[in-house]
Amino acid sequence: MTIFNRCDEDQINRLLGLDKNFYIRIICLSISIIKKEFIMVSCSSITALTLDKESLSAIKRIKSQKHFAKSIGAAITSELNPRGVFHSIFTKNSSPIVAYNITQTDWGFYGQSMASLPKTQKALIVKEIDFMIIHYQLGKYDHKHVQFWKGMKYGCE
Amino acid sequence: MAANKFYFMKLIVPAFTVMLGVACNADVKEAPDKAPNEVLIFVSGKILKAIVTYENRAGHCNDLMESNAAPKLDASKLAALKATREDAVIALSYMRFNNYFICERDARLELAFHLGTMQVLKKEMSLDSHFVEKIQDFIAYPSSRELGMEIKYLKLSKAHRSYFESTIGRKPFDLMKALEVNKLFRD
Repeated sequence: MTIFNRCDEDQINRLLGLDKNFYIRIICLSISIIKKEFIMVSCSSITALTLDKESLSAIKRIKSQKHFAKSIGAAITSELNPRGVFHSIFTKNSSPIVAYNITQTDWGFYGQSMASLPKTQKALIVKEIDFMIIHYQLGKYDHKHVQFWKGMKYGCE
Repeated sequence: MAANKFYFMKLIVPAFTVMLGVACNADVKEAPDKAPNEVLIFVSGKILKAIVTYENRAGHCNDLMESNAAPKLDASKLAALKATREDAVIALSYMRFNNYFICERDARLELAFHLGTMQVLKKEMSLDSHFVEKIQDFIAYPSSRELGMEIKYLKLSKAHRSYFESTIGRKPFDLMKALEVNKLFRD
């Protein structure tokens, strides 16, 4: 469990009786992938989320990257999910009075659109998301907003 | 991966169509000659190359950020230093951005330099440099929030910073993982 929580190379080294080598890197990478999968499937549905001013500003900045909007449009506004919540958030004018219900399906479509982005753009969006995570960790705490930005970072399957 | 590269080309090709379009069209207030256009095309080529290098480097740094172990802070040392949860979150937050920047710095600085060159050339030739400025703002420079985070970090005591720097190191890492591993994340 400790190894799962933190990919500690020295600890793996001791457990396996190996020197630091290529195989340890492989184990760490595998654990990272497992953790990512675990986080991806574990993100939850959010009901009645009313985005606050800071979140709306962050979404506006993300939306300003037109390739993201285009990609998310292709993935989310398709006939598969024409009324998806992320379509509303990212392609319409988000209003502070609108309450969103985000389902597992919505997260799934969001994850697909993130995966299709070029790496520089994904890095910029992840940076924006990390700023929002910091905002809710250092400033006022709001459970739904924390869940929303956590899901934005990892998506769901 | 291949799809990403293709998508990325779709991203930069329109950008350079505009750049080169402005370069090649006779949008010069002064009497244009062929030499300045050649210069702009030459610099555009350098920018294009720098963007591809930057994209590759960003991909590498993202992979490192995802696969690297999250830094583990020692609770007893934090207590001995009287460091608060907020101090630790600020340190991890600042170093998440700083370590990523260190990873991609050379590629980003090269791109910023060529974009800056293009901007100066366009101003010199009285051409519209708005589009270059837009790319520059978007890719090359830190935001006010990043700099604000650095200021917050620099307000921590020297002893705190020394501990955080020696423990966290200079490798890119995932902020959320680091907050969770160190039990700092308020879920």
